[in-house]
Amino acid sequence: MAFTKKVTLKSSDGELFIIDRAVALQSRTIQYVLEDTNPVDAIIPVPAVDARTLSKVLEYCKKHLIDLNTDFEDYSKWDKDFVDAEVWMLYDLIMAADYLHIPPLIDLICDKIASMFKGQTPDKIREIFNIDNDFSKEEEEDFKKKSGWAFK
Amino acid sequence: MDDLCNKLICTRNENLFDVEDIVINILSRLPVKSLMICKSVSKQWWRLISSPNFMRLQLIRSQENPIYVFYPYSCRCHSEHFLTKIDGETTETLPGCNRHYFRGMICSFNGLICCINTEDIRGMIRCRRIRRLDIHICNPATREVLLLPQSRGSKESPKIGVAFYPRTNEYKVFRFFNPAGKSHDKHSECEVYSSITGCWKGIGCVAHSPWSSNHICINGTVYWFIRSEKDGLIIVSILAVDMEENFSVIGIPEEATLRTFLVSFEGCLSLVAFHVFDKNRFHMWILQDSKKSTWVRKCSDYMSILNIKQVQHVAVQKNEILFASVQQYFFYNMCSRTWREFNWVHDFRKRLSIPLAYTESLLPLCLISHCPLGI
Repeated sequence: MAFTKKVTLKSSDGELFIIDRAVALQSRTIQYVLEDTNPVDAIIPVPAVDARTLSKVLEYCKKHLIDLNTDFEDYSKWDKDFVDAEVWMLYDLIMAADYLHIPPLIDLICDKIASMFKGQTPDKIREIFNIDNDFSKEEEEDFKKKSGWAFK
Repeated sequence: MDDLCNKLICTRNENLFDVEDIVINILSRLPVKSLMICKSVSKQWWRLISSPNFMRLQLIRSQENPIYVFYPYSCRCHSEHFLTKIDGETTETLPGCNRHYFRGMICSFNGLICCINTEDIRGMIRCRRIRRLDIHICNPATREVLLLPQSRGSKESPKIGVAFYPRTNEYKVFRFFNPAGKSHDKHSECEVYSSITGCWKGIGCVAHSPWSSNHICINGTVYWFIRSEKDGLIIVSILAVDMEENFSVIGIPEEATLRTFLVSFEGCLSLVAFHVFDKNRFHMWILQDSKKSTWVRKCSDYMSILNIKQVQHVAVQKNEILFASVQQYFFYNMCSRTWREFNWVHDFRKRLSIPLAYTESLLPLCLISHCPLGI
């Protein structure tokens, strides 16, 4: 057998996660590492992701392993609950999903964050997502004049 | 192991919004109205949302969710000018653009809509009627409206067609007209407006002129129906004008002469036609070779739900054909061969409505970019 069935991931804060190879392969970054170097029983470091986030990402990967017995309808409810998290958690998750390259997870979180922007004022969006307002007062007034309709 | 580590080296970004790819990915999922608000969140967001690449990405996402817009109006009441959007079973009014005449909505492409409005103006000489034509290009989502400059007067209603070039976002308006004062001369002339130059340019007399402004634009080529006479018979064919302003004529299938509508299906010119002998059957034809005028039949079915004489407009998006009569809309699914009726949320039934396939976009009306904030 050329490949090991289990893979060990090491988070940025040193915690080890022993998981099925199939679960890990949902991350294209890890898939690339495994295909390229085929480490036997090696520990794959994931220096950009801490243990708390990594365990959450792996929870997603385990759930989304293609399983013929699972009803696809189950996923949407499960996914909805999965992203029903604090903003900071979503931040960490999307950074991890981007780094590990898990496209369906990126889509899921992007949709969630986009839905949080809908119907909000610029002030509220800046507050929720901690963004600095670098516009001058005049520029802001100019905006309100030109596209004030969108703010109603 | 060193090799492994090198592959996984990453500098951690403290702020998610420093990673532009992620911000773009998130923002491109929003409707245009939300994007207009997000533009004023920060200079970075303003720059991202205003960039042509972002507009393209937003359009691609928007195309995954095609909708229809329609303008319901009653002949008695011209004061209500609003455009309504069908999104599944919900109907939403698009406010703004009130002053403009969606009644004359003639085409929609990538979020831009062209509306024409004719007005009679009396000339200096008595009884000579000259028609003035206002052509508006609007983007209802960003609420931009552009009135094209007036062109030469015409004795008859000019025939219009709009060509959109997806790669450059440029559009051209073709206007066929009978020059005022030349009543003995039946030849039509053609003028072209380009969104790059912002003005009209005459291209002289043309051999064929469309018989209505009903047209379709596919990959930069515009198609209209034309009529010609041969041995006492009226022959219907299609006039095509490409991006380089080359004119050509395409024949239509022999069976498709009773009642025919131009539609776009999967990027090809297509016809929805009613059968000459079998009057409640329709066919959809796809143009395979424009030089040889070869058409392939895509689908064919009985229309049990509506009398074909009542069909006023036909539009196609994805796998659905929309058949619109004065009071009812029916969708036909080409895969499942099933029909469904559109449920009107408001009572527009008594009014005439013209449906157009529509995709919400951020595309600008002028290609000369304005940067009011100097960013």
